[in-house]
Amino acid sequence: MKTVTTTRFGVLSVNDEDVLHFPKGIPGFYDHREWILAGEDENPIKWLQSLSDEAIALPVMPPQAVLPEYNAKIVAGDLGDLFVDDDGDLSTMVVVSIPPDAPWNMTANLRAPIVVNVKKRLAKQVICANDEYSMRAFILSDAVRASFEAQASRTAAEEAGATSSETIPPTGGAPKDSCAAPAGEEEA
Amino acid sequence: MLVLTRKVGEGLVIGEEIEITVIETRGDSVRLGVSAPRSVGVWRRELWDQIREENLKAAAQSPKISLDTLLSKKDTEE
Repeated sequence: MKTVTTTRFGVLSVNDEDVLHFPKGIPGFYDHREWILAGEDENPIKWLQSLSDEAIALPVMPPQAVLPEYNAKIVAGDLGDLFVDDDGDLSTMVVVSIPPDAPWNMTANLRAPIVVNVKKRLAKQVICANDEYSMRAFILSDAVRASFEAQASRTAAEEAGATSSETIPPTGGAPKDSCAAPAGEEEA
Repeated sequence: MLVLTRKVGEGLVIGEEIEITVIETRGDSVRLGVSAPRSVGVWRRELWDQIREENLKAAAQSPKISLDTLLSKKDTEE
């Protein structure tokens, strides 16, 4: 057991058996060989936290949460690198990209899953042979994204209205501040 | 890096099982044929570059909206 300090999660205690070993690193982070999975149980998005750099964490989620029939074809050489002798030892996750200005447009990289040999704690990001899988598959449906988009532009319009009312006296009507909960809008 | 000059129809053998043949050249494009065992992944270089970009982007962000809000919305819709 050791403790690691992370930017996002504070101090975590890590058992040796929790560590995921990426012998070749992850593209973009080739020198980062040891990572752990952090996050809350109820949230499908977890974070792959680097043990080489406290500030580096990649959001990941199960591909089936994006595409229920997800079935990556992985070349034998990649499975060989993970010393897989039973397919039941395999677990797959995909990297999630969350645009800061429009998080509802978050996407998952279905083409390049991270494959884990759970028993040996060995992992690798691979390219699967399914060229129909997008590197940027939207996670939320079009309708849900449109509803968040509309919510955001309404909020922006209200903020713009609030600034102009500093010079012009309000013409009545309570200021709307009920924009916290996007659920239950007319689009739903 | 090993640099070799090859003509159309000529090839390279890498190890015992991988063979690359120059099929055709047209302008600045070269068509290559690759024969390799199915256990070996053969990908365009840009694919790995894109994966690297996606990973760097994914690691750089800290969204203002909590993910809980986004995902619970998905649940209520379904």
